[in-house]
Amino acid sequence: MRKNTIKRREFIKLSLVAGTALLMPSFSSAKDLDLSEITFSSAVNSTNNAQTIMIFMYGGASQLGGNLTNIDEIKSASQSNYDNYFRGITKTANNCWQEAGGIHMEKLLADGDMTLFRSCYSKIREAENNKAHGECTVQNQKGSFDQNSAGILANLAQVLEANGVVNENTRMPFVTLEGDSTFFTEGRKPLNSFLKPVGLDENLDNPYSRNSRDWRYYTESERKIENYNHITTGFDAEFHKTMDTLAQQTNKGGKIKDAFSKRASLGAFINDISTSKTPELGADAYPESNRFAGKIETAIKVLVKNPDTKVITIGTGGLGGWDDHDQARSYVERTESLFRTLVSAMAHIKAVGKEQNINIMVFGEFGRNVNLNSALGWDHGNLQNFYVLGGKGYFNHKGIVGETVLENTGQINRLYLKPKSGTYQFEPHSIAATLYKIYGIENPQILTGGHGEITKLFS
Amino acid sequence: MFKPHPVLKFISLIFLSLLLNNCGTSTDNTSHASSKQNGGDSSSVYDVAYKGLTFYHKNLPSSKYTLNPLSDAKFNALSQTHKRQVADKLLSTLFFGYPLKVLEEKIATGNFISSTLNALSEDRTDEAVLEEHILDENIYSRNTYNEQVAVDILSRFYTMTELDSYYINNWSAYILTQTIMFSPAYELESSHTPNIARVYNRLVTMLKEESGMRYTTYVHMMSEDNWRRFRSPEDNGREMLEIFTFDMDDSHVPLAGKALKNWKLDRDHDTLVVSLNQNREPINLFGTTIKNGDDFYREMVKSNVFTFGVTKRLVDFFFPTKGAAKKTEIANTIVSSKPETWQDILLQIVFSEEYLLRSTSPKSAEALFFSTAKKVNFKHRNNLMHTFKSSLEKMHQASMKYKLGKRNRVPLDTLSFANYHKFMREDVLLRSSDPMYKNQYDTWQRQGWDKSFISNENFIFDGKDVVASLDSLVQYLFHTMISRDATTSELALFRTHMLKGESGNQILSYTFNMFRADDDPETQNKKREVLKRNITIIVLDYISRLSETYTHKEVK
Repeated sequence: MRKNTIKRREFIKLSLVAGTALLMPSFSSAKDLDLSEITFSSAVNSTNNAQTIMIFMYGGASQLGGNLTNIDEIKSASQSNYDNYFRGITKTANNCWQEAGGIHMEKLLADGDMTLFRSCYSKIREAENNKAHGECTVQNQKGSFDQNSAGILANLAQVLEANGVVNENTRMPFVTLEGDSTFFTEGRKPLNSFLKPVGLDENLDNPYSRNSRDWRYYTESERKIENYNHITTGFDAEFHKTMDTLAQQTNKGGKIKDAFSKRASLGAFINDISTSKTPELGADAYPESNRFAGKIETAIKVLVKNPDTKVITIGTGGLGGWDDHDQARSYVERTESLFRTLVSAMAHIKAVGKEQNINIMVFGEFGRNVNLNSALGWDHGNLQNFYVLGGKGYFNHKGIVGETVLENTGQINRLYLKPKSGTYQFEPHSIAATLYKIYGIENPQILTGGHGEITKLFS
Repeated sequence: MFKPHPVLKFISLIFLSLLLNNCGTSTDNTSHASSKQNGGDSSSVYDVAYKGLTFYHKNLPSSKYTLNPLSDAKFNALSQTHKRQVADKLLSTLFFGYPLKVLEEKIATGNFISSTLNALSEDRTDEAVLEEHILDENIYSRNTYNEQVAVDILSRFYTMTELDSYYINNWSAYILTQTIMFSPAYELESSHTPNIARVYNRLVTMLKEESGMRYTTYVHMMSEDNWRRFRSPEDNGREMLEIFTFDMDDSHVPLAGKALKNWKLDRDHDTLVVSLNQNREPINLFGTTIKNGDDFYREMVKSNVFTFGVTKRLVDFFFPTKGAAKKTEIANTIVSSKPETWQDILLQIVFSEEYLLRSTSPKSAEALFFSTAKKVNFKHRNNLMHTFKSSLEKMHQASMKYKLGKRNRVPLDTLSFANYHKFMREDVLLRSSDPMYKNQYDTWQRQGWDKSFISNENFIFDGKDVVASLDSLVQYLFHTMISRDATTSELALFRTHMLKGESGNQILSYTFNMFRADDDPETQNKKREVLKRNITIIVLDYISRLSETYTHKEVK
């Protein structure tokens, strides 16, 4: 403009979907995936017929919801008083936090639907003094400490492609309900378009559709057909296809071209799946007015409707982030909501007869320090829980695995849980190895810097 | 650059003193804010410092840039197509644009690059009129939801017509608030809508006052706004170390937490309280000894690692497709110019050969929408900026929302991009404004590109050669939107759809006949405009399907 002229709190605490979920530009260079090193079993892949929902708890969730084993020691060593602040820290039979989803965890454990690992711990990060969100998220979503590695799902996609499990006729093998993430970061060998993730949202909004019945696009002969541009009974002008074809011939390879190439089929798929109904789940019905529950419900609908989909990634948008540095009381409610939804999810999976095939993995970048600090929250830690549900055709659920001890460093606010000596433990990269394993990769440690699968799940 | 008003600067100094007192600043014998000369003399304000933290700095002249700036001579040596591309890249990066004819005139002067840069230090905007205009409810609707203050910021970019100092201060503030460094993070429960305005407006004000980047960051880090994002001593200390200095060493976190031990975000209205129970034991950080929070923040911004850290953050933001080593090299090159202001870094990047000639990146929705609006003289409906803000959220490009800023500035997953394409296609490019509704801001008929965008003076309008006229209009639209010629195939696409008759004797079909005759000249003119609009909509729709529309291109 020239001189002399002329509440919010909807979507409160969204997960860091476009923040931490988008940590690494997909253009970053990476080392080659050497497919010749991979031993792949088509039989395992075929027998398992696995489908996975990966839930990543951005921010780093406290492990206390699933592990109050050491709470008495923690309380006495903590800077702030746990009981005064939380007003309800009740242990369940398996030492889960009753108020923070513990009742639901107990149900999942009792039904043999879940294994709770309490000692997912990174010795390597401990040695490197690293508890930074960015680096740890990238490492866990790549399943590797090698910053040049591709994401877990980019690796998996290329292995499946190389072994003929997926090809250009496979519809949406990878789906994201959280936007792009490091799970899909490409290596030096670019992913073929059909392997790249497609994005959906829990409401099945359909921005893929175009307003296309404008009369100006039709030829004179097309216009002679009755109701040619009627919103429901008409048809799209051929000129749209002609324009798309030429545009795509002109467009250079990359994500935008890929997005355009998938637009029409995704629009049709969303229209199709939006009519899918969830079976009656009775007392285990999904929580209402809960975005996160909506995402999980949609994810299962997609997996059921489209057997081609192998993995769906989800953040915890709708519940909130897990970086509970202060006022951690909301963690209790959030964890309760998460596990209530997971109970519904398992009921849903069983109702459609998919409990042998569909599994759910829940983890984050790290766990937390257990000192309740002056701001009534927890700083970053290095031990986290790993929850794995379903997939009963290939996982042998073991209930609770792993024991912890409290390490009091003597420094203020430096109070950590660590694996008890001799207990079963693994680096976070073993989660990636486990995923690789169920899809038929027999030597997954090749891709994870030597960290093998979580053997307890397969014994 | 305009002459800073010394009185204002000393008022700022008083403000700072009050702020520091409220933050439990140290009581040791280190000298407090001082200047070599006493107030009133403008020559002294650049010497004002607080414990070694200098407050004000002039921007570096471009001659001091070490990241090679694109010169007028090198720009002029490019082909006409490349000149248009580079000019458009520069302007759209700044969220700006000119109608094609204006742009070509500016390019033809031979000093496009230097004149654009020089204009950024001039003061041509009537800020009072502009700010009143943005707040006029008849022109821009106001809501009690949808973070109105963020919408106001978008409305300002849409409204500003001068690429000058006020503009560049706003743009700089906007860029900074999109990054991890200054995001107000309104997605968080503890952050509130006014924090958007407080963070953004403080940046604009401090930039106007020639506040250096160290001082700006120091004030920001100590603000309640920042503490509403990172809310405990350990969290705030850890994140400031990581964000501004790339220090990921977990062993430094307890040290920072100790220095900040008396800082707290009280639950009562999420209020920052700095108690008097500050740490009094010496702590070794940043190669010096600190004790309290003020020391921690101040010594951090004074350190060399800060300069590299903030430069690297901005290099990462503008060069997302470069490899890690190249980005570090670019950052180090900029650091060697000894930047002390945000614009020393931002303008050095944006005017560099590296950025303008040798980089490619997805165009942000702000860059595409605001530049397009200016190119096509877009007329808006009063709710458009709210729509744009909501669309940015759907694109996962929400402005100032994310706790860690836009780590990936332009997400290109299928869902995010579908929303981006849909907004540009259906809310911008396929809409033409009806001149009859020019003053009716609450009508849909007002929204769209203006009739003047396709005035007959902009292309060859010759009824004796309809094919050449059609081609010329198509080329004009291509030049405006994507700075290149339409290809033979593309021209053929439109000819096939819009012409009829045998080759050599073709006429425009009824729907597109911009030469349609009528006995009444007024009726003829009106009908011709409508039919020309039909051509334009088809061509713009095609352009909306091109990846280059959404891309800052590299010039080879």
